[in-house]
Amino acid sequence: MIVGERKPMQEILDMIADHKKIFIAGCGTCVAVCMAGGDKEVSILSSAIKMARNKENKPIEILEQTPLRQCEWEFVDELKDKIEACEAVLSMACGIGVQTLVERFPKVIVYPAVNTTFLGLPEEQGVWSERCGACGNCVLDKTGGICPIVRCSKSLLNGPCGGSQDGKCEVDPEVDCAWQLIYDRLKTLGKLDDLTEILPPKDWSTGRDGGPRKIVREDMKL
Amino acid sequence: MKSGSNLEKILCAGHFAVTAELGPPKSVSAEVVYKKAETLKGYADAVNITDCQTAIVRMSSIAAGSMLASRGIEPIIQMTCRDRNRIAIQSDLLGASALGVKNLLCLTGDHQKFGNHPQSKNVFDLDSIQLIKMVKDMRDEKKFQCGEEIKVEPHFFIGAAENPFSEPFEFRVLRLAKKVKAGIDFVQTQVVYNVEKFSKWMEMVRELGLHEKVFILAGVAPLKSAGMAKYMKNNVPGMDVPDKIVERMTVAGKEKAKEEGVNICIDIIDQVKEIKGVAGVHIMAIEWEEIVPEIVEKAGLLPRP
Amino acid sequence: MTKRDFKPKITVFYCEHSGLLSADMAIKSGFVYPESVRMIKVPCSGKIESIHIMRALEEGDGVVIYACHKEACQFLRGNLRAEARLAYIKNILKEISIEEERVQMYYLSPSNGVKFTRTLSTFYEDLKSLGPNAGRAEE
Repeated sequence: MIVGERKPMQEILDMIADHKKIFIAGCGTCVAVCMAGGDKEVSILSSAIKMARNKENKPIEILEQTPLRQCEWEFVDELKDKIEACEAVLSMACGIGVQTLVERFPKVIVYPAVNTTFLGLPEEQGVWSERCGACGNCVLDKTGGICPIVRCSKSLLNGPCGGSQDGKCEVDPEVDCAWQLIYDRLKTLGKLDDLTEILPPKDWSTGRDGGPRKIVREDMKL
Repeated sequence: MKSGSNLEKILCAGHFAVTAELGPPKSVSAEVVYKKAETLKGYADAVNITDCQTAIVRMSSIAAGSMLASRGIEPIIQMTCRDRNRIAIQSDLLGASALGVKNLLCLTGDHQKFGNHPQSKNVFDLDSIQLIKMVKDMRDEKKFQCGEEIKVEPHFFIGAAENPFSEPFEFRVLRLAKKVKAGIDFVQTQVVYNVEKFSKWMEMVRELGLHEKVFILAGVAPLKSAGMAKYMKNNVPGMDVPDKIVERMTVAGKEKAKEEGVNICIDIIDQVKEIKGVAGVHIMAIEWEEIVPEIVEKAGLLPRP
Repeated sequence: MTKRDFKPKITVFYCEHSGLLSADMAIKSGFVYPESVRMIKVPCSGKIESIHIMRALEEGDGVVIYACHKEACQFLRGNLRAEARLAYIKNILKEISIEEERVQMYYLSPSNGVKFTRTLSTFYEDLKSLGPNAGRAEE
């Protein structure tokens, strides 16, 4: 899922400083699950903004709603009335949600209240970590099912660098060395020989480096 | 001869090689480069020029290397994957070769987090092994990475680094084997303080016969103080400084610390020289280049061939 | 409004397993609630959502939570959750420059009327000297 984190309050307050009535739109899918932009976070942000603005003697009126998904026309259309009733929208969805609103309501100002951080999973309650870089050219079959593209700080494809120590990455002692994980897993699977193969330079053109991406499925089009 | 470099000649002739390391300045000062280079002249067969080591902006390795070459000191250009994609790397290598650079060390590169621009974007289009293969293909197949032909190809003596002390330990030799397969001619190791562990690693190297395929230069570095020893032991990932070394530095006291650091370095050179498969030493005395002549002399490695 | 006239509006969330009995005991011993204190009983301090605390602050000057002692929660971890949420709220308050002291949490045994009286009275006096919550909505 997409994992995000609320922006610092001051940054949000600065964005909306000139507005007197805004609409905070949450999203009920990924960012709700990672507790960054679901209905609970919308109500808390709303309350905090109101208090901050009261303190400045510049009260603000805030409408709130959290559609099931902010990245689908069908769900964002439900927001039309509230959007039109306000001067601007503060979106607590990921960057996709923000842009869905922008595209659907071209005349409306939409601000992001959340930093879209990564594609990952909740490791445990309250802890999320990155798993996929959406490189468009999956290598998990060659690396024991562990992604070196995003889980290795240097995206190495042919084994760990010299900074792997005690199973941790030199960049951050809290982060596992992806190549240690890959090595351990391939060892368990009895497939260490896989690591002697030299993986050639990766074709990054399927990733962001190839420019904005698009998938068209003729069989699915209406 | 693959490159015709001095280093290649010395190693192929079976001499025990000595390489040193030179960190270019964080400025345009050519003087600093020449001064450091002159101290190394006649004491090292070739000199590594670091490529923005620890991700700190410094004068370009190729530029400084070319300056060295102009004074008759052979450079080993270091090239990392951190700052350049395959286009920039190949372009720079064409330029380096045209400037007369003959030795190249292929590195992954330190992460920018440790440098002076931790907010920068990194590249890592290639990893060090892919870089090695690319350079070898440029030389031996006359081909760019994309497969296009190079009319006049670069001739590098290709090196790599390897760290016998980082983990997973068992994979370290396999990784060297991968680099050999990718096309290196020589390897310089991470600084050796733990000779015992290094010997064990060399044993594994010999089991795979890698010492017969590439020249292995053991990395050494003189310690300056007990504090430095402790810092490296505890804070530098991939560095293995045994307690007895820290103790020797501590016992020596502040005044004699540098002297003891040199003694330890010479002891280690003496020991690694005796290990089968070790073809030379690489002395890393960054910002202490002037000590290299003393070490080379006391280790009995003079005169250079 | 001078500080002397100011009557802090306080919301007290109290767990029925400890706070409730303590409050009863306090009243039996003669404690009288200040008029601007609103009492809200919860089955466990863990039931208090962050937004409840925020809303109470939006329309008041301070919030107090009475919870069971750390290892005495009837629902095992409810009071720990409340504590974590309180820390989260304090962070938000810091971000918007509202005094963190406006939210407090106290751990009580059942029937500790003395502690209930002392903490609530002190909190009330502290808020009085702190003055009105600048983030509070105009009535």
